[in-house]
Amino acid sequence: MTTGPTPDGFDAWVRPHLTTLHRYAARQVGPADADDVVQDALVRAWQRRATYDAARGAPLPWLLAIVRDRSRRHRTRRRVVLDLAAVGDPAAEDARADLDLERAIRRLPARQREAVDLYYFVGLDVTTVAEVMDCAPGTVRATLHQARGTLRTLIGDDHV
Amino acid sequence: MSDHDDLHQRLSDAGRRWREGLPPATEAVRHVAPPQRGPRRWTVPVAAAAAAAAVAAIAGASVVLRSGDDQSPKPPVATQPTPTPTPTPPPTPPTGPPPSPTGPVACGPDDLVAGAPQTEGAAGTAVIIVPLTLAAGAEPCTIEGYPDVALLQHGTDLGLTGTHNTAFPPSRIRMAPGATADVSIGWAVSHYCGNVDNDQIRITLPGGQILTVPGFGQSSCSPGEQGSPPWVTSVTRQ
Repeated sequence: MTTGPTPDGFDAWVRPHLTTLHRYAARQVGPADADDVVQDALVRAWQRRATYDAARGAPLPWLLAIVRDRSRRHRTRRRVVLDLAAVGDPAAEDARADLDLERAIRRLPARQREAVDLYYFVGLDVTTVAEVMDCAPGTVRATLHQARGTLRTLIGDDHV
Repeated sequence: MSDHDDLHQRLSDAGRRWREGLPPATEAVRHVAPPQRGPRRWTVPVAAAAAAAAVAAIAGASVVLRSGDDQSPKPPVATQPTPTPTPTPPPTPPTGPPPSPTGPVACGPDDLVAGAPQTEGAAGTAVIIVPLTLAAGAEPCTIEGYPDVALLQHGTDLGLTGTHNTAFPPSRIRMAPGATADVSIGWAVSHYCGNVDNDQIRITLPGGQILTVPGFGQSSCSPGEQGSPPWVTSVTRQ
């Protein structure tokens, strides 16, 4: 069985994914706590490295799933406050629009929000999003389509 | 399609701006070095990257983890710059002389007890982690090797022979009061097309002890997928 990292290779194994893991953690718990969650996730990944099965997928979805799990635990310990200051440049007009969009995204159903976070904000392709969400790529596309529909309604509601 | 033209573009632009506003992740965790045999420091520098938005650049605050000779990291114990691993003499190799007559012997059929299994999963693969501890009143003992696992459905063996996860070879684990070891069993249950209901797993430890834990549940798969057998790790210290 081709499996996870060797003890000496763990650093090199996770390093290419740090940017993505950090982005996902920032979407899950906010930028201020993302470092803590990534660190927690890496420790967990090290402890659980023997449970990684390369035959079932690439390392990134496995690592992202650990980040998601640790983010959930993090949120149960402390209330996560939306860090509005971290949304774009506050001086720019785009930032206000992004804030409206962020508020709407946070009102999406969980699966729709996860798809939006992973695809648009973390920057994953549909195939990888599907692996993380444990569904088919077509389901991700459908979920993103539904999410855009929900967002359109939510943003419209905000403007009423 | 307006859905794709406007809101898709707006989300794409917002996502790009959001990513550009984040500090680089390479500043968040710059170095992750696994422990080696013998006590050693694990260094995971943390830049407190997100705080950089509110505070001036914070570069390289480090979190130091320690590990014992079981190759398992411990929780962070400090947040100071500590980039240099502390060399220490290696411990006595576990494959050295055989235990003395008074030293720990191999764990027998009644020496260990299983704690509540934890279930984790990703990408359709579920992992059941069974913690082992020394039974009350049992003498310290050692355990080494792969367990045998059998997936059961209403008491009947499904015939899915577990393969060994060989990434980490078995090592001798000394079980003493308070010590914990794990057995991890993985299965792509949501990709298995046998349409079975695995309600129990029977684990036979290297010393012959048999444990039974709840199974993976009902299998399912998508069209075109094929089933794959479960796998099991050697007994490991976590």
